[in-house]
Amino acid sequence: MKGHTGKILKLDLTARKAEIIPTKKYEQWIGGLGMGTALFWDEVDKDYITDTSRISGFEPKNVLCIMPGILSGTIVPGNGRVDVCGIAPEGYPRPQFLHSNFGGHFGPMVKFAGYDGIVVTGKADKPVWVDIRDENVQIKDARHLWGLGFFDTEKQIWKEIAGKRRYGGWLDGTTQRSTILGIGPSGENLGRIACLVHGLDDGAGLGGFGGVFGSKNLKAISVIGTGSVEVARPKELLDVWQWAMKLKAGKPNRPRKGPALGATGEPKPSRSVSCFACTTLACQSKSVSSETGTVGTIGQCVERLFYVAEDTARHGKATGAEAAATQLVQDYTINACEAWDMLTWLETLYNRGLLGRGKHIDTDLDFTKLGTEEFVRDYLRKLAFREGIGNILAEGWARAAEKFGVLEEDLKSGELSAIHWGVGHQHWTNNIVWAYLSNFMARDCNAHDVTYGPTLDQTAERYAELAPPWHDPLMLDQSQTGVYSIHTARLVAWDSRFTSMKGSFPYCDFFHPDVFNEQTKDGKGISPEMEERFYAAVTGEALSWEKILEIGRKMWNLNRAILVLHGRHRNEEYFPPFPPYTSYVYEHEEGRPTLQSGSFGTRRDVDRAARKSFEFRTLPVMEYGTYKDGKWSYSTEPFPLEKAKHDEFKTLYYNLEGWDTQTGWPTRTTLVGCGLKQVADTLEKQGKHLKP
Amino acid sequence: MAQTTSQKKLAFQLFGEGKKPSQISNRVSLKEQTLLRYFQEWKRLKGKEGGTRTKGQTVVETAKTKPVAGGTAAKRSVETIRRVSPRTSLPDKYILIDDTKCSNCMFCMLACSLAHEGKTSLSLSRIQMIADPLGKFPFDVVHKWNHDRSATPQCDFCVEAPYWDGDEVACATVCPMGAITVTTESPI
Ligand code: SF4
Ligand code: SF4
Repeated sequence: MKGHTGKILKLDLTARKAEIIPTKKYEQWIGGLGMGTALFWDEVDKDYITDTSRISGFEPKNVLCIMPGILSGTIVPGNGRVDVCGIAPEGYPRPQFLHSNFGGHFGPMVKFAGYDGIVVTGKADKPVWVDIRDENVQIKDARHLWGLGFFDTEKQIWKEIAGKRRYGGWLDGTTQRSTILGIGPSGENLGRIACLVHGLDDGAGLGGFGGVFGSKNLKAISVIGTGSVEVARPKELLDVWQWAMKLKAGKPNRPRKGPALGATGEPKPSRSVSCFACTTLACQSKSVSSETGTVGTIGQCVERLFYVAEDTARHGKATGAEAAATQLVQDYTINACEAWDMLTWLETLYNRGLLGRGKHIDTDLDFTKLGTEEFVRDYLRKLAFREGIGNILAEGWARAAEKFGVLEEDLKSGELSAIHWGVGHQHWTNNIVWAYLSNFMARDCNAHDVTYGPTLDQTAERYAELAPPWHDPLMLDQSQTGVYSIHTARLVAWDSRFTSMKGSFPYCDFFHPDVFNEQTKDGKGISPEMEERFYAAVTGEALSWEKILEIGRKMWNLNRAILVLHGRHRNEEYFPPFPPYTSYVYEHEEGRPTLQSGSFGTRRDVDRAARKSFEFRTLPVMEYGTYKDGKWSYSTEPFPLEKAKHDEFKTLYYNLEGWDTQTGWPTRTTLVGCGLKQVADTLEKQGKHLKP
Repeated sequence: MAQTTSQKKLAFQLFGEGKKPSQISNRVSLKEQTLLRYFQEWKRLKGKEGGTRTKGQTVVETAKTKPVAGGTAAKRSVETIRRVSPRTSLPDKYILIDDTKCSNCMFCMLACSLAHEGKTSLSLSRIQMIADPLGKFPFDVVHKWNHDRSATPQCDFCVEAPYWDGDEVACATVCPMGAITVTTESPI
């Protein structure tokens, strides 16, 4: 099929062997997230992933799929993302299968090298790196790279590839440097909070897949591709591209161009840096800090933000400590979401007198120096190298809190808001759909799919259009009754399907879907026409929106089946999802954030004055719509989520999905209906008895 | 056969009036592919009027330095690619690239290879944007014209790009950062 290259590269590190899996069998799964899930399912030992409370995810048996999609490497906007999936060590209360993803230029390069994806299994006996140059794949000794930060690793690999030659001209059929995905010390030291980094600051953060690389003795994968991606209708593709770009398709809440978000004392001059095939977003910027001359800090996201508040609070302005922190967190390959949330939580422990020299949590991490560069260097080094307290913190905050004996207390109070299965990153829009969806998967969903248009009428109408088969405008009713209704269940179901497919094409989350658009006459966005037309131009085959969502449903069910094998059950799908602990989410107290405040996380909202002026707070706090007597109205009045009603909601949702309401598992009929009969059989074989 | 010839004539006539293949597809009974082929043929013939194409039609020239945004550190030499059109009615053209504006999105390279070869590839593009992710701004992105590499064709200002019928050259059209400009005035 056009768009696909026809080959998937499988690296068996134990045998130090590279094999080819033909893509044909997996074409139905489109690519990215979908194809990754299917490959994981086929390649992994089912006994290994049945009841994951006994495993860590660091076993050689863990299978990691690194998957670009069918559109990767073409000119379709927003195709630079790559899905990474496997057993995530960070998951709590047990490691779980989840997807993370990253941008940059890695995915398209994999396609140009001739592969639809890379599957990594086994464990090398000694540190290795993988050198991929088109069909030439070599697993090489990496003992000299082990111990290096990620940036030095990249430099060293580039040097080895170029030899005596210089970059800037043609080398072996390309002018491009190899694209590298790899780890620094945090990954080598099996941090459950270690991420995979690529380039300067692209990273797959959630899940701890950096630690999985480390456990496999895999330092990095370097790819050069000099080939091409075949396209069915090139001219049409260029036409559709121009049509979509003329209309500036994309999300209205896209990040600003240029360096601004969050960072103060803004460095200049700078470059807006984007992923492969990014539209005008260029959501990152590379800069030379005006204060310190620190070069090459890019990223406008969490890695850029996580130390700004501390730096600013201490010094009245950002002094460059925040820039150093950004560089370091990436060089060490630590998930910045974790580094950030963990830091604010540790600070509360310090303020409560629980943490410090000679305290209950005895550490030389000196909070009187918080905000300085010295502090953040010390903190990050501890995390990356597991020094002192870092040995516990590298296990992720849920496990660390358990070890410190404060998990129950802090989950109840909301000091610790690890609501999404222990995986750092709290949801950014306080949208109930986001929360539910995350609860039904194994991480914060991070899906910015529900955006609000000019009016609630229009918003409701558009989402009704986008959500076959229900076409239900009441899906947008997020009132006190609405959040527990079948309408909200439909929106959650729609989002699970759409977002699965978004990760499979792939499309950048900041770009798709185009629901509203100021450039069109009626203000309507150009989704789903855009998605359908791009797909047709690239592959030469039609794929309707209904079909897109149907395949998304199949992916969602396969994902669910894997969680069921792990031990997922209805009785643990609560916020935070670690029974027996009670949760602040259901208990509304004065001044305590509830569903409608900026985030489920408390700390960002209650922190010191500096944080109040911090731009994070001004990111869209979502109003919600209420539909009453034939009319929509806005509200921002917060209300608590009630546990009993949340329970009833689950019954509605499970029914809607065709899942057993007792267990939350897909029924056999549902799986068979999705074309997943073999999956149903496997579940049975593994002792998961499905309802017919 | 006669039918086709007259259709071809009609198409050429319409191209001569400044119409694009997509604009006339409903006025001629030709397959899209055929129409695009005729358009290429027509463009070639037009380019040949009054003279033959000579090697060196596209040349690379280096201007001195051009100050760009960012002050002292950011003085860059601006390399331009120039189309020389000997004895034709077409004016000379230059493409200027401001590397400091480039976001490394690769759209220009994808558009170039797609417009000419019908597939996307970095190695098949005439224009080459080369980034060092760890390099220091503004010297972390440089561009290159592939005149030095025989394996890839030279930039032809999209004259022989079978899949392109835009008003401007492909790379400049798709660049979201406005880093590529086409001009008829010599920047040197
Ligand atoms: S002008 Fe046309 S041929 Fe030349 S580099 Fe740009 S897209 Fe390629
Ligand atoms: S299209 Fe523009 S911004 Fe993108 S790589 Fe080319 S020159 Fe740079």
